[in-house]
Amino acid sequence: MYKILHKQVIAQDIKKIDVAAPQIARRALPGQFVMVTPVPHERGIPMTIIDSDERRSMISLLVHEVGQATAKLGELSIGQDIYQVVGPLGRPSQIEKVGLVICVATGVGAAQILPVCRGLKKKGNRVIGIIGAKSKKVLMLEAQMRVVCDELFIATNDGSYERKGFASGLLKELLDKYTVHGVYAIGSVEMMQAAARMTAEKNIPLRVTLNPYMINGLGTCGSCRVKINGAYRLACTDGPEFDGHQVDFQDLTQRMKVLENPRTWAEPLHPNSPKSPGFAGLVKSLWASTRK
Amino acid sequence: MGFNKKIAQDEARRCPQCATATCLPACPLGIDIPGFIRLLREGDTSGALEKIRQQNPYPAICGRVCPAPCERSCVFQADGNPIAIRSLERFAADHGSKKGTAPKIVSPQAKKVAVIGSGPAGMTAADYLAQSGLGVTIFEAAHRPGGLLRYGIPEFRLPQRILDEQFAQLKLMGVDIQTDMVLGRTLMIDEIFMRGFSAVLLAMGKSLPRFSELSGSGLAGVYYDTEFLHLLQAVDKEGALDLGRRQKMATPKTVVVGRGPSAFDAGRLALRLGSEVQVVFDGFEEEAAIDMDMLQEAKEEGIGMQSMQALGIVGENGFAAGVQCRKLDIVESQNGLSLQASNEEPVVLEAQTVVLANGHTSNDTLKQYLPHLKWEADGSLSTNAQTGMTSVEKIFGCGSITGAADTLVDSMVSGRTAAEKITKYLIS
Repeated sequence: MYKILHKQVIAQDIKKIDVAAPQIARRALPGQFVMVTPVPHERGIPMTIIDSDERRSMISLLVHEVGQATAKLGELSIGQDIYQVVGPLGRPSQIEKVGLVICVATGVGAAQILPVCRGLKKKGNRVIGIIGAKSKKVLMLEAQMRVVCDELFIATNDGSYERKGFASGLLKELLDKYTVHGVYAIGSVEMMQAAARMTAEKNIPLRVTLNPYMINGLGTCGSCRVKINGAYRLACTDGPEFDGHQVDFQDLTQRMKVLENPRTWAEPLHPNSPKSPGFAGLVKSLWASTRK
Repeated sequence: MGFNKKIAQDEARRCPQCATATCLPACPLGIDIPGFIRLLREGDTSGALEKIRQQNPYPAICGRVCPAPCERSCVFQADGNPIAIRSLERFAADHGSKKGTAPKIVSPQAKKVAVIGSGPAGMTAADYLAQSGLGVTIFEAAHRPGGLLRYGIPEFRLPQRILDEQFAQLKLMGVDIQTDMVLGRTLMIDEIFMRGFSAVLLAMGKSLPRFSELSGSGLAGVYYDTEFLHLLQAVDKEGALDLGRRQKMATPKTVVVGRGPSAFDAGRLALRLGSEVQVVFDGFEEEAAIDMDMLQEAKEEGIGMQSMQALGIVGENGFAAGVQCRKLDIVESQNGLSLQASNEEPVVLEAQTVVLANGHTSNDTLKQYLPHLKWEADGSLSTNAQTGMTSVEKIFGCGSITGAADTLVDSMVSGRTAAEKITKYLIS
């Protein structure tokens, strides 16, 4: 039913797929996501809609193969059907004409910021983009971002491309240089926290998109609860975009750990994942089992 | 376990067939309980099933997961050995001949009703609406219909096969089931009316956990009941391979805080996957809000029970490490025994997984999407008692979202009443 029309490898472990989903394509707005279950009895994966084409009734998604479910989705080839795609879910991004806007993204966040940048540009804002990546190998969507943004800055942590450093460093420089009217940040918790600190000093509105652990995306389980302004809200129905100054980042760091621990009923890690315990983990677990 | 014919007949013979049956008024659906038991006693299983079906379209579901208020009001309840009415209902549903319902073709002139949500309330309403000759379409947000019955009750209590059978039966009656349809996101209400539907019935229920006040509820390893059940339900339960995969994920120790059915379901699920489980709530063991059969089963399976007051969740590097609890002392007063918080130092029950079962509420999606709907102060959807209509013309409500229902049978009754009211509204 949800046929894969096109598939492209765009960086290491990252694939872009176009899926036929007429119901979703005609309603999708920037900032919304879909829940994708690649094969029956697999877990659902929340995925941002990076592009939707109503005329060809398809949506584009970015698959980052980190877990068992995403690996299965990555295995599907062109012409095969995805078991389930539900959406568009979540509230759309708040996009208004404000003037000069900076959009910061790290890692897979680049895929999520692209539709936001596009929306902002359409409204007539001047958009400056910043992408942060670990290295050139995992940097993605550079060309698309260059088209959308008026200016694009790139930082790689290992210095393999453009500037060596972190996205938050670039953001600080730009905030000092220009009078900025709004910031959108999507990516690692540390980066969003840094952005919140910097923008709070200068009283600049900040929107962040949170990616907590999410089970079904319909607002029925509470797995994606995040603390906003002292109370738990659901990222799936109240978000995923929130006011960056109200997010409790300490709590968010805790919530994100659900994904890390292989023994909290969460998805076992994919061997490709950098967070996989690997050989050292194996030795450790064997040692622990002998001590039992 | 289901009864075999011998046990079922013996159990049916035990029923005294009281002149003024106490079980009759206890059943919210109004099933003729002594009537179907009499038929079972005579060996007419299909007749008994027919009798139940007059009031209850889904005996196979109710025979497994109904909270059975009838058994609590049975005359033998005082002896602690009531007639196993629920199990008899299950026996009738499983062994009675399922008369093949001939596929029904809904007349194209029939008025159409859209039912949003396919939980107990929605599916009952759909059944009754279809029976009265209306065209019915169910719109379900998840990928498979069933709502809480599918995603909130583990396989060992209600097999998915049973649910699939019920929906196949609904389809035969001419009900169209469209899944992956989220109201207000994929599907708009105006669009429903534009497609020619004459009425919309909101039956999405409430399953969002009420967030707990306990400290540390944001730690990794802390789950709410629906979250936990949904998480493990999402993974396959048919293949042994996948069972192994889930077993690998189990933490050594689990503590469940709560006393309702979902607390025990979550506990039993964790136990079956190899975790050591303790259920904690501040009350006597008998005060658990589940029926005695289920409590007995849970205890036999090996669930530990603690009468303690949970104070908070202790964390370690952001992961749950245990639940801090205060012991309770038994105090004797005129009203009998009661429990009181003791002055002892709180103890910490070790647990890597904590499941909180703190009741449920509805989420804000509907409020965001249809701001002109009127809501009661307690957060439930307000409906007109006479017409069943919400504050918006042509939109009706039923099930737990209206606050009319708490249990499975109540939801079914609410669905049935709503269906009757809609029929009256559309046909007159």
